[in-house]
Amino acid sequence: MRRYIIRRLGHSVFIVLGLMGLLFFAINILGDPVQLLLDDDASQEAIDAIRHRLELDRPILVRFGDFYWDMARGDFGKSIQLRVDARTIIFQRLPNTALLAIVAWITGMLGIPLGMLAARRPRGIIDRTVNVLSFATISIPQFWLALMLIMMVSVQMGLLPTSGFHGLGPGGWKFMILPVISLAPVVMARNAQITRATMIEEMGKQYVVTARAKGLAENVVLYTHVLKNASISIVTMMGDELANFMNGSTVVEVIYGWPGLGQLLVQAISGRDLPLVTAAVFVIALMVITINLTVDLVYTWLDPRISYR
Amino acid sequence: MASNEATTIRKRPNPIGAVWRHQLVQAFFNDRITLISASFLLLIMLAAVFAPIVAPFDPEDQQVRLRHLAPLSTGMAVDDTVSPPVKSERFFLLGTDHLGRDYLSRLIYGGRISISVGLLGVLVSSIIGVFLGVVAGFYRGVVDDVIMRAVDVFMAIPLLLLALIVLFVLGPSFTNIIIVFALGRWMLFCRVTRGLVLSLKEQAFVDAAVATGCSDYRIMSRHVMPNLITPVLTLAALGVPQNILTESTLSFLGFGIQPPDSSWGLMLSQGRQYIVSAWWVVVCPGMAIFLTALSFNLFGVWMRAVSDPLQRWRWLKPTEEARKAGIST
Repeated sequence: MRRYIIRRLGHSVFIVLGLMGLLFFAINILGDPVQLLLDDDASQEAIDAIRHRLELDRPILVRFGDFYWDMARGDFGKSIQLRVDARTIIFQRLPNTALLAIVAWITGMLGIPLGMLAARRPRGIIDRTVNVLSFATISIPQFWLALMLIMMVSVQMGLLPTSGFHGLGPGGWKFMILPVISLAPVVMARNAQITRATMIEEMGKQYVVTARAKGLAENVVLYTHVLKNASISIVTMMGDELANFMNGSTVVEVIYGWPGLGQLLVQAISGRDLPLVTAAVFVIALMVITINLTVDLVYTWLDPRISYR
Repeated sequence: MASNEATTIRKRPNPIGAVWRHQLVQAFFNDRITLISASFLLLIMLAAVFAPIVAPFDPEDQQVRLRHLAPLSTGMAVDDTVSPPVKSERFFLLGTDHLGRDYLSRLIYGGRISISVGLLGVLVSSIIGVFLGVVAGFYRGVVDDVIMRAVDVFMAIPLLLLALIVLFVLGPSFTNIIIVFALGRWMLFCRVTRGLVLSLKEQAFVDAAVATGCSDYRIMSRHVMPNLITPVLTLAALGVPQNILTESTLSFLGFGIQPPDSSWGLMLSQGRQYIVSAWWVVVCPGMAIFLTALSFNLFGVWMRAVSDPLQRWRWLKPTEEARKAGIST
């Protein structure tokens, strides 16, 4: 087990390093960092000056090494727009994204009982309703849902603020309702679909026949035997969704003016703020990898049959 | 006698294939939801292909005096490209936008880009994914290891993050969005194809092909690939709506399609600031994206169900021919 964890950890580090390598490659070889920083009509002197100031006139391999060294120390330099250490900004934004993600994610868990209800009678009336509703939900563009909510709930009914952010304290909950309602339905629909599909699949297996034959109540069969075996797929899906929120809530953050990582990344890209982009990508990647790693470790706890060597 | 039997076997048409195809067509017409979504897709695609004929007006024609007309209203348009200017009465089914352009025409032309991004993105990523998947599954060894490790790395990157990075470096454009989808969506095709190739390789017909001296290329293209068509098509059908949604998100954020081109996502982003005064500039493109994505999803799910032998019976009704041929579904 310990060897597995160490190997899996090494794998995660490899993925983060690989992704950052791709980013370095993209910025420095596919593109030109100076061009990303300056306007197209910058003078040659300005280009040379910034090239020298950012030490871009050194060999690319040296810079590549430095890039990884800075990353290891967590030093991404100062944000060009905000003139503050990129790390400080990231640490300000991270809790906001995490809070929104976790609340929406937990709300999305409501999909699991829906999927269980649907799986009780495949192609019954509940199953059909849940199925159609979940497909409708995953087909809605999230930002459109957000705009429609603003239009109806905030503008026409005047119930909730259109956008903004008032801290993570008790005064801020009003600003959180609409973002959560925009993010949660998709997760709910995906959870319902995966729960339904895996439970129906599991219900066709031999152990279910055995459990029924020995006279267990249908509820016990479904909720202890079937659900437990279906939980691997459900946990995988839920891990994917939480990981996705680290960056997937970007549009919703932008529309509701929620100062999270996604909004920061969009601002940094629009402002051509290279250090901030690098830092944001690094932190998002780190979060995603950590969540994936956690999910893999949860497997062993859920299903002892999965053995790792 | 033996040779006689062989010839009759060779001449006999493939009843299972024929019956299956017949049942498939029947199942398609029997299932109302699938029929509706497929018809809607056909309609949208025809409108996109024949946009110049279908669109009532020029999508770029600005009638500033007719800005933000509500749907179903008429207005007096002035054509001042000719002198003296010609006035004509126009009917705007979906109203006009903030520059007085006919919204229905813009929706039809915007759909051209949205749908072609969706389809082209899937086409490119499936070609890359299937090629790498077949190579990995067929040759195994180091090639397989390298390809699957790459799949792992790419799987760990959220698509939106990848898209933002690529479009940040390469700049926003139609081609670059396709590049994003090629980079961000090939892994699923690769994984599924590899799995299928691994199991197909163990089948007797591949051994037979090897025994008769077929080249690797021939085995892959003639014996393995045809068996991949249905699963890959299903994945593709389910990938299109995801691409359309992602493209609209990127365009909405300003990193996708750039004006003067237009897509449904860009129309939403342009209409966003008028949401209070002109609801239709936000509702219409959103509905277009929603209905198109929903239709692709429903159609893809139907395809998956029908191509899965364990689920097929739910959709297919046994036909007269099936009973005659002694096949029970």
